[in-house]
Amino acid sequence: MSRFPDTRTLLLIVLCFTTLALALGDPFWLAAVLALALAALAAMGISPARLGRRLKRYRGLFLVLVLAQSLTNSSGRVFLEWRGHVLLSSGGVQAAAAAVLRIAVILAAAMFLSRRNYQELVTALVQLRVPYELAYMVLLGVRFIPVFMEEFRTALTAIQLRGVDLDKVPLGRKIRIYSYILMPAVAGALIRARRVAVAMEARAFRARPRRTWLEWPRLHRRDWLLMAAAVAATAAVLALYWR
Amino acid sequence: MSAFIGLEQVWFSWPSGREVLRGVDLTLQRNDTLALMGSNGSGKTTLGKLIMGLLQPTAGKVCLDGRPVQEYSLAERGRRVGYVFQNPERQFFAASVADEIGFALGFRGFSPAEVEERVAELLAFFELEQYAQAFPFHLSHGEKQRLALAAVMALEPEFVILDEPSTGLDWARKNKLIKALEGIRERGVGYIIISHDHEFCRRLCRSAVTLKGGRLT
Repeated sequence: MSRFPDTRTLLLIVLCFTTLALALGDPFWLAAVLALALAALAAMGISPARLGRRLKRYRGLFLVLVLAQSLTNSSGRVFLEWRGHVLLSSGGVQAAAAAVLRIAVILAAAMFLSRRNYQELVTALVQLRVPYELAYMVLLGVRFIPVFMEEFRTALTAIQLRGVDLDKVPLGRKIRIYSYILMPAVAGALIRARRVAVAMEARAFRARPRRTWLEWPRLHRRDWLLMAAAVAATAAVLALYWR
Repeated sequence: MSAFIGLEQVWFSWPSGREVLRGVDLTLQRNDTLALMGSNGSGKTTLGKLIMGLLQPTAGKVCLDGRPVQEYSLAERGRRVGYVFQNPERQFFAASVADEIGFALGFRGFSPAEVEERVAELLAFFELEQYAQAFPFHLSHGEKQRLALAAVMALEPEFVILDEPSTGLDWARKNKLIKALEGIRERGVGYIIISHDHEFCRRLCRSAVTLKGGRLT
């Protein structure tokens, strides 16, 4: 049974929003696009509050971004200066706001696919002429990202449980310790990849050149209309912005 | 005498709302050996992580040597209480078995000669000498369990928590692990064994508690 919107329609919407996020540089425009994305998510029954929770996780990264943008962009009105070096300017604030909003739009765009399981995504990619093996591998890789993150966190905990106080270790040694964390994550990834490959082949992955599909969704007229509207809106926003 | 590990009316729920522990009280001295038993999903590992301060109770108090466990840094907790993960592989990060055991010693200010001597001693104690230069991930499950224990024991902790140490071990490897743990007990180091292997626990622990419905019985 086909769902509305079709996964391909959602992929196009994601593409439209990420294009806008990357193309627009003005924080006001980006804020407007974010508001549009949130409204669209709400219309689809996906709570915009989830974005807030996601953004909260990246607050450390945002702080670094804001600081880096403030220090590297000294255009506009100067708010804070130290020994001739501009620490905070209106240009820096704008650039920092744009960077944070850009990430927010991309994360919001990704949420459009949050109600699709990986099988639906694989089917959609194959319908878009992506080779099945490639589509499957990409999504398998994406599914492993949280696992890798968890492994990094566990390794960091394990190192500290061996009596290494990261707060008291000098920077040089700290870098050495962080390099240790990479080892179990990479080794774990390789071992897991090998196991998954064996398990997949044992279940006849690629045993036959053609495969059948339990579901092969069709695009409805509503999907075509939604896609056309998304492309037209993106083009209109870009045309207005670059005018 | 105040308890080394003390849990007072500890409650724990996951963010999903699932209640795992309901008012757990537990008191252990340094040289106590306790088997923490219970069926799958009963909250044994959660309780172990709460004792280590890796999780925070929803209500109640977890103390280590008379002080709330959260007042210690993770490193301080690790120096005092060794924790062997359910999956030993998850606590390895060195390129060789010898490095894995000696890792923390270097950071604690031991000289290279002292580290070498201590590592050799632990390799012999846990019967891992022939694997000194092997990659930890390439060991068998039983060897990985012994390596995880050796790496933890290198810190000379006052107490050890072992999460499901006998899972996946055959009789011979289980016996080797029992021998190693008996040696630890003889040194006056206490431990909690989280397991549902009755025979393994019976041979190693003086007391046992069962976690059922979020309570200890």
